[in-house]
Order: sequence, then C-alpha cells, then structure tokens
Amino acid sequence: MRVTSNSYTNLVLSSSQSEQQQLALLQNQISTGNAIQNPSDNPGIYGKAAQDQAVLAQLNNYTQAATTATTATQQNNTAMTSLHQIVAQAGEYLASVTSNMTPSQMQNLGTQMSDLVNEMTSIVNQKGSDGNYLFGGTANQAPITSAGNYNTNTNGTTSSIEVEQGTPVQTSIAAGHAGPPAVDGFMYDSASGTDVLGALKQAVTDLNSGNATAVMGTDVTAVDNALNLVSTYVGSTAANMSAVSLATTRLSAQSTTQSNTLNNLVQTNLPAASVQLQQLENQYQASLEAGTRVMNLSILNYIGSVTSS
Amino acid sequence: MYSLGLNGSLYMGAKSLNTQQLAIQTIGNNLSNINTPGYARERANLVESEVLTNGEGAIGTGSSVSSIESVRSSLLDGMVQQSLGAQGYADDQSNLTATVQTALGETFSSTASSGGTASTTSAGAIQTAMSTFFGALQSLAASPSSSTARQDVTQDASSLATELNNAYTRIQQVQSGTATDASSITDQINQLSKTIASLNQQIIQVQSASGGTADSLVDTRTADLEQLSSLVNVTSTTQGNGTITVALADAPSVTLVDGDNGGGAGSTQSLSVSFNPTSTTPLTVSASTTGALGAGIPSGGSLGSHLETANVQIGAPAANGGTGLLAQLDTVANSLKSQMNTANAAGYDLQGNAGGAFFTGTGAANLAVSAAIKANPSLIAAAGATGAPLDGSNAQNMADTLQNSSAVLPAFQNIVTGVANTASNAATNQTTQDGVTSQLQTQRQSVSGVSVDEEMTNLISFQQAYSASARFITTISSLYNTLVNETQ
Repeated sequence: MRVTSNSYTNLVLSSSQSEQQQLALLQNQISTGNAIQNPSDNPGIYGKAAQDQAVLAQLNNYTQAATTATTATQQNNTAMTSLHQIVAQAGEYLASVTSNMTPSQMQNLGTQMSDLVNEMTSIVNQKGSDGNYLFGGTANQAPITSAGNYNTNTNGTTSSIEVEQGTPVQTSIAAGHAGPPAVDGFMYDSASGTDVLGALKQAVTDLNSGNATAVMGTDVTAVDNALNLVSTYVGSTAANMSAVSLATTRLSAQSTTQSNTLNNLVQTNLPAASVQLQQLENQYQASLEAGTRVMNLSILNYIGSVTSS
Repeated sequence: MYSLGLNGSLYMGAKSLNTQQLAIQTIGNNLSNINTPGYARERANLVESEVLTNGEGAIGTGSSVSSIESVRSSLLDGMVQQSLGAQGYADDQSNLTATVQTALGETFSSTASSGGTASTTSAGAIQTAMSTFFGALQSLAASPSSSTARQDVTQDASSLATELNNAYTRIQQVQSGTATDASSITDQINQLSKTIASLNQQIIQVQSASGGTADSLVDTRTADLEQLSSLVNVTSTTQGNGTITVALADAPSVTLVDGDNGGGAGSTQSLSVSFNPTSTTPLTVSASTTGALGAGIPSGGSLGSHLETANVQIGAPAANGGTGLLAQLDTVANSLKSQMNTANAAGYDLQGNAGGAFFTGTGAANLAVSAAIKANPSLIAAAGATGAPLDGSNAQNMADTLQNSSAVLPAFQNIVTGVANTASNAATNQTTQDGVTSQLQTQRQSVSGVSVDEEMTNLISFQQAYSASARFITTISSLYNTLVNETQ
C-alpha cells in the first residue's frame, strides 16, 4: 500500500487518542477506586453487582431488625427469669408453713407474699423504652389493673420480627388472663387452669386468715403449677434469644462475605491497575517516540544536508 | 533525411520547458494542499508530442501535458461516504446513550471506611432509596407504634418517589435536548444541500467554460457530501454533466440536491423536525413536500441516531403507549404504587382504621406519598388487625411484598442493565466504526494523499529535466550562432 505523509500523522493521532483513552480510564479507576462506575462499563458485572448490592442492603435491614429483636427477647427473658424467682420465692414461703404456726407468723408470711405480688405486678406491667406495655399483647394496656386484677382488655397476640428471609422470631409474649374469655399467656393457662396471679393472691388470703390447711394443700399445688408455667416461658424466651443471637452471627458472616464479593466485583484491583498503568505509559511513550522519529524522516532533510555540505 | 531544423528544435526545447514547468506547478499545488481536507493529489499526465515519420524512421517533437487529473478512487470515495454515515450514527449513539445512562443516575461509588483498609460500595440513588424504604418498613414492623419509625417510612418513601421523579425529569430533558439537536442537524443538512447544489452549478460553469475538469470544486463537493453523509444517510448519483443528485437513503423520493437546486429549491426538499413528548413517536422528521417521514426514517447518520434515542430508547410515557425508558420507569413506579397501596389497604392504622392509599400519582413523573400520610404518618396501616397498635404484621407484609416483588427492584435493575447494554454496545460500535472509517480513509489516503517524499523526488526530476531542456536550448542557440557567424 502506498504510504503518504499524512499516513504517519493520522497513525500517531489515532494511536495517541486510543492510548490516552485507556490512560484516562485507568487513571479514573485508580483515583476513584472503582473499576466499574457506570453500568455500561461492564453491564454483566454491573447486573451481578447490583443484585449483590440489593442482597447486602437486605442483610443490613435484617441486621437492624435482629438488633431490635435482641433487645426485645432479652427484655422478655429477663422479665421471665425475675418472675420465676418471685414465684419460686412464693413457693418457698408456702413450703415453710406448718400446722402449728401462729396466726401472727402466718400474717407475717402473708405480708411478704403480698410484697411478692406487688413485685410481680410491677414486672408484668413494665413498659419498654418506647413507652409501650411489654406484655399486654398488641392492645398496649397494663395486664394487671391498679386494683390488682387481670385487665381483660389485653390480648394474647404476640409479635415477631423477621430476622432472616422467612424466619420470624417471636419478640413479645403475652401475660394472658383468666377472662372471660380467658387468654393464654405466662400468667394464665386455660388448658391446665394455671393462674399465677390467682395462686399468689389466694395464698396471701389464706396466710392472712391463718388457713394453714389450705396453704399447705391447694395453695402449694397452685404455686407449683404457676412455677411450672413460668418456667416454660423462661425456656421459650431463652430459645428466642438464642435464635436471634444465632441469626445475628449468620447475618454478620453473610454481610461480610457479600460485602467482599461486591467490593471484589466493583472495586479496582490496585496492584493490577498500577502494573497496567506502567505498561500503558511505556506503550504510549514508545508510540510517541516512534511517531516523532518517523515523522521527521523526509527526503527534505537529505536535500537540506546535501545543500549545506 | 527529414529533420526539424534549428527552429523546430528550439520550439521543442521551449515546449519541454513549459511541460516541466506545468509538472512542477502541479507538484507545488499538491504540496500546498497536503493538509487540505478532501483534497486529492493531482498528476500532470505527460505525453510524447507528435512523431514525424519518413521513409528512414520516426523523429519525436518533444513532450506536452495532456491533462492534469485528480487521483481518486470513486469506489473508496463511496465507501468512505457510507462509512461516515455509519460513523455519525455510532458517534452520536455513543454520546447520547451515555447521556441517558447518566440521567438515570445509577452509578457505583465507594466510600473508604475508617483506617482506609476497606471500603463500602453503594449502588445508585434509586436502588439505594428502594432498599432504604424496604428497611424502614421492616423497622416499622418491629416498632409499629413508634412515631420515629412511621416518620422514617414516610420520609424514605418520599425520597424514593423524589428520586424517581428526578430521574424521569432528567431523562425527559435529555429527550427534549435531543430534539433541539436534531433541529440543528436538519438546519445543517439543508445548508449543506444548498452548498452542494451551488458547487454543482460552479462545476458545470467551469467545465463548460474550459472544457476540462473542475477538480478543486469536486474535492470541495466531496468533502461537503461526506459531511452531509455523517449527518444523515444519503445516496448520491453522479450525472452525465458532472453534477450529483443526493437523496435520503431510506426515502429515495426525498431529493435533497438535484443539479443546481438544493435545500428545498426546485424539486428538492428541505428537512425539519417536530417534537411532541406525549406522542407515541415523539420526534419526527418531515420533508417540505412529502411531509412526515415514517417512524425511524432517516435511520442513519447523526439524525438517525437522534431519532433512535428520542423515540426508541427514551420513547413516550407508558400512558401514551411508549415502550422505552420513560414507559419502563412508569411501569416500575406504578407497580410500586399499586403493591404498596394494596398492602396498606389490607392493614389498619394506629387508630384502628383500615388503611388507605399510600402512594398517589400516575407514573414515575408524579409519584408521591399521599398527602394525608405525609401529614399524619400514624395513618400507615402497619397492623394486621384493628385495635392492635403494637401489631406490625402488615408492615412486615408490606416489606416482604415489595422486597420479593420482581416488578419493583429487579424490574428497575433490568432497566439499568438494559440502558447499560445499549450504552456499552454503542461504545463498542463506535470503536469498531472508528476503525472501519480510519482504515478506509487510510486506503483512500494511499490513493489520493500527497507524499512529500514522492513530490520532492518528482520535483527534482522535473527540475533536472527543466535544466536539461534549458541547456538544449542553449546548445541550439550556439548552433545558430555558429551557423550565422561561420557562414559570413
């Protein structure tokens, strides 16, 4: 092919343009830290990265939900543990009653038992940091009234928080009440007829009236049943707490993996990019050098040198 | 034996000087136009003059320049012209699709975390806003009575709606900008048509006056035709009188240049554009006589590229029967609205009343959170049952519905990937077309381009021939002197 003077110029211009485009791209990748910025930089990788980003955002949302669930399940378990101690204490008081105790001794126990009922009421009626009653179901009402009776306006609906895709964890428990209609919860169980508040209040009544027979008989049994009911909730709230904890650990691991995957997809591999930059620099310099040399070659130079000599 | 005689020899020497001088002038003209766009090198065609013959043999009478011609390849000229049309389309597609992608606003960014050892990557505005909104719904499910959680849902939903509104507006601006550009392109097409027609007229005049060729005018016309081809795909036909006729390749009946008429004069037509953003085909090109050309006509050059972007890639809103980017954004916005409104209507607000519409609007352009919910976030129907303020089951249902819906986030991601593929393909096509055009221009340059070395070598050759001819004249003159002086 015939080569003309402008062939050299055009070649230098086109190769210089191409190399400068690559240099600009590489400079941008190194300075921003992103190999992909615009989706069109690599639509295939972008599509994958966008999905990864959405999954990561979802994991972050679940992690936040798990944090809320952790607080709620810990509150529930702490409350049930405290309640368990109160009912166990009540059982110990009743176990200490004998048939030859004096009425005064019985009344003293009745007073202590009454204090336990107050403590229990305080626990059952406690509110969360958001000011809502923790154990009134979804009705947001105190489970025990100021008169010391069950509040029948509460319900047994519990809430749960989804801490992983399709994995809800129960984050509230209901106190329940004897009704009517009866609502099952940690204070009342209709299947066994267990009534925690009722058992302790009856024991207070029997202790204050000096009815040792009732105390040692039906009251002890009722409190035992109450203890069993509360124990069940200690176990279930601990299990919920554990489930949230495990989910949190899994979410953290998944988030780390997902984040690394995303960063590997999107971010610039700096060592590789630096090497590539060096190669491009060399190529560009060589291209300019070759262009400069070739463009200077002309018969005009020889004519000039022959004329001057 | 018959000879020219001294007078004939002197005449032959003078003719030779003239021949070499014409050849040297041609070289000078080539060197002068070495960087002139569209210039094709010229060549002085030297021929041997008439040969005198007698019975003893033939004797020449010197040399002359039979013609000065431009060295052109009509095949390569045609291929470059076509390639420039494709180049104009590819260049503008690359730029326009990149602009559309920018207008969509979905880019990746990285934020270095403390210590600079790791960084967090985040996706574009709308995707982030969607994920944040889903997260806010999930938080509301965990704390349904929290006014902060309700406020967050309202604000995040508003942010998402605003991002969609803004992206839609930016893309509409690109579309109207494309229409403005297209109008400017048709002005250039009309002007170039007139210029080519004027050159046609001058070529006829020069040729009829001198009987030769008007190479420099043809060079200029070729450059103008190539510029026209990069604006719109045309076909050109050379007529017997040296003029060219130019018509739209996609609509051959629309003649842009015919002889000395162009840009609407005589039988030719001028082009114009009209833009109606709510029409199914928002940007249309019309010819002054034919009227509106069909959808997608013209299909090539810068103008074709602008039509493609305005009508196909961006298109009309969904409500106007569009299927492009605007309609796709409308579809996502409407899916988000209908799914969220259905889910909200299935629940109960903090007062125990059934939920109402959460989003309002008819598409991505005007999607907004309902004014009632904005003013009173307690109207968000987070509960699954009435009279249960601590029930967040419906908020969870909303979060799950939107998060798992293929018509919301994945649909939007598909839009972004579609735009990305279009922009990436356009960039690749531009690079390929650059290579093709560059290669064709190099090939044409190899035929028509000026080489300094070649011209200088020829210059020396003609210079020496000139010197030799001058010496020949001196010798003949000396012979004259001898003859005149010695015979006295």
